Amino acid sequence: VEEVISRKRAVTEQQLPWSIHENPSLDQWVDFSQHGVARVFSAKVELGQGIVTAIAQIAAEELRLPMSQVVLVSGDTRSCPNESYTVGSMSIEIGGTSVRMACAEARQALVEQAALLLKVDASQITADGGQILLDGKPSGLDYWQVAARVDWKRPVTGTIAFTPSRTHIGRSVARVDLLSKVTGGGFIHDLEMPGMLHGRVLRPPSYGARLESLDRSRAEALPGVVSIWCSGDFVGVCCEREYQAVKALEALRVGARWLESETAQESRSWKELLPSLRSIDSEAEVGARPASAADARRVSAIYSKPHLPTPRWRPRARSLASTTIGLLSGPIRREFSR
Amino acid sequence: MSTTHTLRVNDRRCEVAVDYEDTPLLYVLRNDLGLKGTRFGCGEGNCGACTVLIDGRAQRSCELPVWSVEGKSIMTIEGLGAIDRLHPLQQAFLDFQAGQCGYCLSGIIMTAVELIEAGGEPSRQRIVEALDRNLCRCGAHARVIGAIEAAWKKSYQGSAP
Repeated sequence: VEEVISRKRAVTEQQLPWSIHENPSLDQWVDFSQHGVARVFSAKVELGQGIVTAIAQIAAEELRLPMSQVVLVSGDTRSCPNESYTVGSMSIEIGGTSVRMACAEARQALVEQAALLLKVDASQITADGGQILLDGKPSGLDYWQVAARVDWKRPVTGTIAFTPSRTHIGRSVARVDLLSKVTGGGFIHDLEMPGMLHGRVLRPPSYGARLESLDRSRAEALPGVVSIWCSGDFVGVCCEREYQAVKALEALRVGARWLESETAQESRSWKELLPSLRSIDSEAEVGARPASAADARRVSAIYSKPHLPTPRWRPRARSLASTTIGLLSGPIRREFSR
Repeated sequence: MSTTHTLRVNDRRCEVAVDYEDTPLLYVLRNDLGLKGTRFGCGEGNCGACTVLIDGRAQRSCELPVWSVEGKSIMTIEGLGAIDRLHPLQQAFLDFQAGQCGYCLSGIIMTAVELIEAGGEPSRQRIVEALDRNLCRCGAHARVIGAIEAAWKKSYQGSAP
């Protein structure tokens, strides 16, 4: 046991955040090709939690730049690293740490390149507000002049010391997304694509209800109905205009006959299902090794959580997402392409 | 079945054709007039995300048939202000950072406009009552109330009748 624990600890100490592990090259995270700004890429997206602002603060701190010179590019799969989903309260811990490591690495690369250009020792170089300082005084060089000479295709090593400064971190700064939100700015369901249809999904009257029969004739007679989809217990309709879909859905609801059952049956089924599925053992956390074998105690428990139905979403967001596939985060995009 | 309606939205006259006369104003605003700032929340008049001003009164556009607002003055969040000319309420919401996901803000701000334009200092109690039917699932209420109080003090106090 002792041997296993120490081996795992060693691995853990070397481990980079998952996001860096998956996106190891510095040019996946930072870009200085636009003069006067650092573009920083993160796949973590704004859900109202303020993550875009928080990650911009982290980047500005490590790059020693004012917030106004940091452009955080969030969630655009054409340019951002694939960091999987924005879930599980891990965006700062994993996404933020990754950006912090990348920005520290970028600052170090700029300082080293500046030292080469100025033919001085790197220890004489610091950076502030995008200016390269030599012995604390302006050197005449800035990030962008130096950046052109840096090879950005280098790994993020995670070994560069973070800045001890606290100019942006630990302070409340204005949310970058809020101006748009108080002036009616866009959400994903506000996107409109050429030839876009509007869909609605018929919800079963109760959890676990089975569709017995569906009379489509009323809905089919309504204006703008393009297609009615029925597969198993799923019923959906697509129309040219949104309110047509609302009306068609009403007509489908009248035409649908459901067989309702106790949800308790459903609860039993997952309890039987789970043990029959393939089990993947995983390690949640490796903590400190007990001082002696006598201190070690094995804790064994089984935890389970039943299926939780979530509140409905407006169906349009999902159907629209499939048409804007290029902008989706990696895992969702993969799922849509299946 | 298709009908045509003449509306006055954000001081502009517009004509829209709908398949159903009972088409809610919300669908017309968003899909026919491209005014996406008014949000679909519950679609049942319960959450307030779709609130707009009809002749100065805050009403839920998801349950207002388009025929019923003909000849009336309709104002949406886009008509209230814009990024380069913020309404005092919008500025106050920014000052107080009163919002998280922000989906409810259009409706809340339009509800607050009616309150603040009504004249007289809106007490905390009156603000709470006015916003009773505007839901914010993120829980930004406390800052929202503070923002409305501040907007009144800054821009309306003294000028109100």
